[in-house]
Amino acid sequence: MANEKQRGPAMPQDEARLMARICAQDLPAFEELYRRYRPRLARFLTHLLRRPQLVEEVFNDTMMVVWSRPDSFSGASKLSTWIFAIAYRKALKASRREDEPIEDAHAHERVSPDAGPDQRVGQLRVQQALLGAIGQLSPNHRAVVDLTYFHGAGYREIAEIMDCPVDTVKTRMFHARRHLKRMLAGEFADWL
Amino acid sequence: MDNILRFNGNPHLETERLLPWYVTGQLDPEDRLQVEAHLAECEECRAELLLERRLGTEVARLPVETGLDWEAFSRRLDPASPPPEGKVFPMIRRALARPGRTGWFLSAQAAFVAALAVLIVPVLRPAPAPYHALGAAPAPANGNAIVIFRPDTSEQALRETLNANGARLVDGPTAADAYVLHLPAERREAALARLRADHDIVLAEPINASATP
Repeated sequence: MANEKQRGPAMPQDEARLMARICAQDLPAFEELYRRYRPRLARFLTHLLRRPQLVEEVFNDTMMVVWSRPDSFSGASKLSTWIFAIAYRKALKASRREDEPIEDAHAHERVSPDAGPDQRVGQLRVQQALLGAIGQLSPNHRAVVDLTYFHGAGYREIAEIMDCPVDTVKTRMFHARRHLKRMLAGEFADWL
Repeated sequence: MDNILRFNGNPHLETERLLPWYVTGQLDPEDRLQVEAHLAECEECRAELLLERRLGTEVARLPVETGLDWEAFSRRLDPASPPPEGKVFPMIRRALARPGRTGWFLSAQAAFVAALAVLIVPVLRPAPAPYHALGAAPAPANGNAIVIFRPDTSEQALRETLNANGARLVDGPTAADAYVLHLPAERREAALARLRADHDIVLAEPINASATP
C-alpha cells in the first residue's frame, strides 16, 4: 500500500493477473486474492468495527463485491485502495445500523504470541493501554490510525479510501495522536 | 472533531500534524522538506519524532485475531453467474486501436501490460453461439488462456502461432481484439511461456473459467 502516491496507481503484475483471472470468474484466483487480503483487511475492519460478527459480515460483503463486480475496478487507483474503500464504506454502513456503542471487550485478551515471558508483562500493559485508547477513538479516527501505522498508507491514499479531503485525514490524525498521547502519558514518558 | 485544522505559521503544530507520515516515508516531497527543515532546528519536535516512531511501532504490533474462513465464504459464491458488462472496454479498445503508436505501446513496461490484463478480461463473458450448422466441426474445448496479438499481426502469423502451440481458437476477436484459446492442459504453462516470448503477442494469461463459445 505504501509509496505509491507520487507514481500513480501502477499495480503489481501478480495482482493485475489475479484481477484479470477474477474478471473471467476464475475461482482459484479469487481464493488467492481472498487469502492475500484476509489478514490486513480483517485487521482494518476489526479496528474499525470491534465486533467479530460485523467484521465477518463486512469482510464477506466486500469480497463479494470484488467477485461479482470486478469490472467496477477501473484501474485508476491501486487495487488495495479500491478494496479498502469498499470495505470502509460497508463498515460505516454496518456500524450505523447498530445502535450500541462499540467497545472492545476482548482487548485485554490479546497480546503478541511471540513475546518472551520477561517481555509479556510490560508488553501486555502497553498493548492494553493502547487498545483501550484506540478503542475510545471514533471509527473514522481509528481507520486513519490503522491505515497509517499498520498498512503504511499515505494521507492521499487514505483520503481516497475514506472519500474525504487530504486535510481532513491530517486533522483526524492530529486529533487521534493527541488523544493517544493523553491516554498513554505514562508509557510515553518511558519511551523517551 | 473533523473541522480542518490549518497551522500556517506555526511550524511546531504543522510538523506534529505531518510526523506520522514522515516516519512511514509517505509524505509528499514538499511536506517532507518542510518537516526536515523544522526538525533540524527544533529539539522539542525531534523528541516528538522519537515518540512518534515508538507509537507507530506499537500500534502496528497490536495483535488482531480474526476467524475468517475461505471454505465457509466460498459456499456463498456462484461461479455460474457471469460478471456484468465491463465499463472499461472503450479505454482498452482505444489503446489497442490507436494508429501509429503501436511501437511505444508494445514496448510499454510490464506494469502497463499487467494493467491491460485487468482491463481486457471483462470481454470474456460467455456468449452463446446463435446456431450450429449441420456437419460443423466439433466445438473446441473451453478456453483456458487469453491472448492479445499485436494489431499489425498478419492472419498467417496468427495461424502459425496457434499451430505451433497446439492452440485452438475458442472465442474472439472480442471488441478489444483479445482471443480466448484452448491450450493442451498438460502443456499450458509451457505454451503460455512461449506465447509471452512471441514478439507478435502483447499479453498471454491463463484463465480457468468456463468461457464457452
